[in-house]
Parts: sequence; structure tokens; C-alpha cells
Amino acid sequence: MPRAHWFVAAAGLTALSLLAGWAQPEAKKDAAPAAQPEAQPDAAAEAAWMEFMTPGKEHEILARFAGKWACKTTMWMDPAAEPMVSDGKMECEMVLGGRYLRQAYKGEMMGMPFEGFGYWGFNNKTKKYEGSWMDTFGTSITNSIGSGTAERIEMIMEMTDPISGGTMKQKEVIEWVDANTAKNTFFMIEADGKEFKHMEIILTRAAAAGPAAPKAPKAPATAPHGS
Amino acid sequence: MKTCSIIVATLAALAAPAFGQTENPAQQLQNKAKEAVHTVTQEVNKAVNNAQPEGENPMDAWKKFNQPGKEHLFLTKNMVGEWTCNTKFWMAPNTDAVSSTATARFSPAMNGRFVMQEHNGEFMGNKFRGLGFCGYNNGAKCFESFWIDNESTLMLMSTGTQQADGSIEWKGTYTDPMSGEKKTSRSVTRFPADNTIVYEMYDNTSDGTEFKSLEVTYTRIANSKTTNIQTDATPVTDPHTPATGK
Repeated sequence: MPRAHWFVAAAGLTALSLLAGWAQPEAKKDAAPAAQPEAQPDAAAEAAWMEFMTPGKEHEILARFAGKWACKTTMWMDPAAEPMVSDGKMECEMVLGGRYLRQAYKGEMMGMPFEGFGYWGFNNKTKKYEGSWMDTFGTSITNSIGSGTAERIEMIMEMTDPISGGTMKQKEVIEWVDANTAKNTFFMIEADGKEFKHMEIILTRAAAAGPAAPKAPKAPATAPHGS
Repeated sequence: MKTCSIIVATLAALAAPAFGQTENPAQQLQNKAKEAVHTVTQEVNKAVNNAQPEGENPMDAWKKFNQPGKEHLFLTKNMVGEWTCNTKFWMAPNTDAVSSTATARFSPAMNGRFVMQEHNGEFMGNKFRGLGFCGYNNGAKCFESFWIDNESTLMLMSTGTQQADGSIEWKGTYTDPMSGEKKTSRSVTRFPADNTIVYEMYDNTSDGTEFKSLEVTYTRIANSKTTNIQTDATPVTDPHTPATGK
């Protein structure tokens, strides 16, 4: 479906023969649609797609977040105001064959129960991290895009301003402190480009997850949607 | 504030004739009336432009933004449940479709704000797994969706508008995984009957002619146990359930 779709959109080749070529190399001829005998699998296109769809080192970086986390969330409504501090829990897992990190957060915000979840991925073509986020404090799907290193990822989120309905920008910085500690910092980006740090989450890997999980597991075998 | 400005402007305009000169009184009145209309219009426009930040309590605005509404109910009612899917795929215009079957489960997420689709199918002997989400953004006043699957590393984001017949037309931009070019996608979700959804995806030939490349006909076989949009916070069977916390 989407993959097939991309093939058509992208290469003007027949998706079926490409898929067939990839999935069943020994059956290429049989699988190629009779209706389009001129269409031959294109080895270069197949290889390009494989490269595009195969999780790589950036997905392993994301996979380091898999597991349960205790969160200490600090929020500033105003740079001068006293911050609000709350506890939360984050549960993360790799899904769809190690391609995306699902994060689910539960805690409170401004004294109210708060729940949210989202996905982070890495687009092998654009070489950018991509994210989506939904929560109980809004009806928007917030998209983000960014780049980084194994130790630090910076994402720019486009959010809906609840008052004007327009968009606001926020920067999220994800940093590893050590193997079991991470820090997510959020900055509102004002219209004039000034940044205001309004939230910080310190994530500590929950003890229940077992002994220090030092290195990134590859796509966990338990990923429920793995191929 | 708004009312005040209008009153001030009107009074100013009406007071002006008192300082009138020796012109034709009728002409004077006409000019003053024009001027008054102009002034009041300007004031009204100013007031309207300022109305949102000044007039609306941010908390009220946020509640409106956050509260699921009729569009969320529409998605929940028409989508949540267990479905079987018949998929037809066209590689080019005027060719025979390639058919396959799949199953899908749609469940509510975040207390009725979003609907999640878990799609399980097969394509050329491979398991195909997809996750889709859609919702309605009360602030931007449009439907929003994104899709991820196990055959790519891309997130496809779209925004949608609802047509008079209830169908939702989705548009998005993405980077072509093969060429690296920016492209736009167009698809439509139709609701022809209570237990039927038809999802259509369109594509363009190299000369720019649009054709239907995908059609998925969903048939609802059961309502999900989680159809009540207030109870989705604690489902137990779904591997994508948010952390249970607390």
C-alpha cells in the first residue's frame, strides 16, 4: 500500500514487480504482472527501497529509549515564576519492526491528570528524525522534525496555538546524561526568535526494568508490529 | 472596549456638524454621515481584530481547543471497531487491479480525541503492518492524520477537510523516498454506509494525470469494546496502550 504507492509515485515502475523482486526473488518472472510484460524489476530501485525501509543506526539510537522511565517534570509558565514540578511515567517501545519509537507519558500538568503518546522515527531518505505527538490537553497532532547525534537530538515542533488557531514553534532537545538517564528540554520559540525554556523532563530508567541497560538493544524481538 | 470605541466614534462623528461652516446643510450632513460610517467601520474592524486576545479568556480558549466535539464523535462513531478490508491496487491508469485482504482495528485514543488504526495485511507474501491516527484539530479547524508502517521509515502527515457528504479529503506533503523530491499526496476517506469505509488514494502519472492507485473497502464486523470514548484510557489488550502509571 503506501510502499506500493511510493513506487508508483516515485519511479514510474510497477510496484508489484518491485515488491515481487524484493520479496520473492526466485519468483520474479511469475510475479511480474502479465498485463505489463514490459515492466521489469529494477535492481537499483529495489536496493534504494531496501535502504529506505531498513532501520539503521539512528533507529538504534531511538531504541535506547525502549523501556520504562520515571520522570521528573519541571514547568515554567513564565521565566520569572516559580516552576511547577510533577512526577510522571514514560513507557517506550520500538514498533513496526524497530522503525519507530512509541512513547507514552502519564503524569500531571498544571495540577490536572495528563496523558500523551507519540512516535519518533528516522527518515532514511531525508536523514531527519520525525515525530508526532498527541495528548489529553489538546485536539491537535503535533509534528516535529530534527536531527542530532547519538547523544543529543534537537527537534522543532509545530504546535497549534489554542487561542489563535495559528502555529507556534517549540524546540525539544533530547540528551543522554548516562545510560539510564536522559533529559528532554522544551523551549518555546517566540515570534522574534527568542527562546524561553518552559519545560524540562529528567527521565530515569525505572528500576523494574532490570539492571542497567547499557547499550541499545536492536529492534526488540517483542515489537508487536514487527515484520 | 469594542462597544466603547464604537460609541466614541459615533459621538465624534455626530458632534462634528455643530462646527459646520456655511456649506449647503444637506451636503454637509451627507459628508459627515460618510465620514461617520468610515470612522465607525474602522473602529469596528479594529475591535474585531483585537477581539481574540483581549476578549477571550485563555482558559476558555484552551477548553475549546481541548474538548472533543462533533467531528471527534463522527470519527469515533464511524470508525471504531473491528474491520475486514478488501484492497485494490492499481499500478497505472486503466490496468487491472491487484487485490488483497487485510484486517483493521480502530480504537479511540486520548479520551476520544483521536482514533488509532492498526492495520494488518499482507503484500506479496510479506506481513504488512500499519498504524494510522486521525483527529480533528479544534484550533486549526481541520482534520489531521499520520500514518507509519513497516515498509518504510517515513511518517506521512496529512490534513483533511470534510465534504458535504461526510467524506474527508486528505492532503499532505512528503519527500519521495526514491527521488528525494517534495511531493503532495491526496486521498479520500468515504463513509457510504454505517459499517462501510472506503479509503482511496490518488496518484499522478509522469505527465501529471491523476488516477486512483489504491482503494481499501473496510467492512465493520464488530464494534470494539472500547467504543465509549470516555473509557479508552485503560484498555488492557492493546500493545500500544499508554503507560498505565499511577
